[in-house]
Amino acid sequence: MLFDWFTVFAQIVNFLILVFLLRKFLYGPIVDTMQERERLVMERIESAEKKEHEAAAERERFQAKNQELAEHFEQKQKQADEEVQVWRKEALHAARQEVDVTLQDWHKSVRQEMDSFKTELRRFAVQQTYAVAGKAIRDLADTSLEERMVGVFISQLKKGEVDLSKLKQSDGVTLRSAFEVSSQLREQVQKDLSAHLGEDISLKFETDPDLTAGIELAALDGHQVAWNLRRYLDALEDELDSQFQQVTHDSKPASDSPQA
Amino acid sequence: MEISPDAIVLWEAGIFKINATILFTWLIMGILVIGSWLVTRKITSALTMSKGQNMLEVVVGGVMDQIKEVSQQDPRPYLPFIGSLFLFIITSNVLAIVPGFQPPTGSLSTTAALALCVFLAVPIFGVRKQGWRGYLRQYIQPTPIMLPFNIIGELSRTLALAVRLFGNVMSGALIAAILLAIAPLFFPILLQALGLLTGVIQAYIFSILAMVYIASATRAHSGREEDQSKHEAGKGEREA
Repeated sequence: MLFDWFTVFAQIVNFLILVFLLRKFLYGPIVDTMQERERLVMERIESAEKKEHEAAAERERFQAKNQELAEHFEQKQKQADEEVQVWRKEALHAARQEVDVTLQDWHKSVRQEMDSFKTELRRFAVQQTYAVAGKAIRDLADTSLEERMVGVFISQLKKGEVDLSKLKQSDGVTLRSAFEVSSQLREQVQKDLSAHLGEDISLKFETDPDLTAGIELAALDGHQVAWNLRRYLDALEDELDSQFQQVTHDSKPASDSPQA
Repeated sequence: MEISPDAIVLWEAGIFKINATILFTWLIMGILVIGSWLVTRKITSALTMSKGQNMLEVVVGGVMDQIKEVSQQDPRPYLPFIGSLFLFIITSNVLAIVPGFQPPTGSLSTTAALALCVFLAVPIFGVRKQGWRGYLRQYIQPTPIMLPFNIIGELSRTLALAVRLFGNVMSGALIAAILLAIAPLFFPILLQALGLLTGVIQAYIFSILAMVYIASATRAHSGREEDQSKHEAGKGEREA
């Protein structure tokens, strides 16, 4: 017989038992494990994706930062270049100014030296001229010339063309001459002065080669009346001096212009 | 020669008896349950696993994929039933090459029992999914005139399920035995190999058909639900 009811029933029971047992020992654990693994894998994938996103964000952030740094660097470099240019210009300007100042100082110094040299030259020339004139007069003059000058002085004194009012208040008067005055002339002078300054005036005679030629009346209080060539020589010196100064002033504008 | 292992009775007491079908069924159950227990007691959700666990995961995953493909539903409620059908039948058919093993699937009692289980499982899953009214309405679809034909179809497909499996397995074993008598050297091996292929295909066909029957009883409800939800969505859009 192909069909047995008891076996059919037994097989149904067996199959149901098998379903129950396999559900307990096979499908339950395996499905749970697969789901758990799936969950873990999903978590890992999500974590990896999250990390990937984070990494991408980080990369973008770094790229942006790098770009920012590059821009900043470029800007700084540009700024530094500009500052260097400005500094260069300023330094160049300062150096030029310094050079100008130095040049001006040097010009000034040169000019001062020139002035000084000119002054010295002028003084030397005046002194030399003065000395030559004085020496010439001293060499060429003699007692007679001086006596002649004293004679002219007495003559002028008599005419009242010599102002002796400043010597009147003095007790004593000193007569200085370059050469020794003769006794005759001394008396003449004593006489004429006494006529003008009073009888009681004390007159003293001194010799002073610096006077070149001529006489000089000096009171005790310092007042003087000069009748000699030194005055002319002094005037000559003054005239020479002024002439030299005139020449120096005329040559200054030419020397002031900077020689660049 | 016995056509059915039912005829090989080992023990009998009244109506109770233990024949080769029941004995080898127990053997298959023991192999499956103990094998599963041995593997799943050391189960791990780590990415590296034992070979046994890997094999069982492949099998269970494959069954779940097939169920999902056929039913378009969550496979987990159907997995124990369909998976057990598949594993029992395939184990039985594959072990048929072992000399002296009498495959229980070669017994019409076994295939009838399995077909009866499917016959009962269809309304159970159907009612559980869409209720009594929803399930029973299927029998008067598209018109009440179809009711007798639907009932006949239900019965006939269960019978076909049982007989197909029985016929294939029994014929495979029988042909091997006959060929062994005629040409004992070469052809039986080829036929055994062919029998293996046939046995695997039959296990697949039986399980897939069972799933198709169950899915047809449960999917109608899902289809209506989808229609209803689409209708409501359309109504909401019109109102908006």
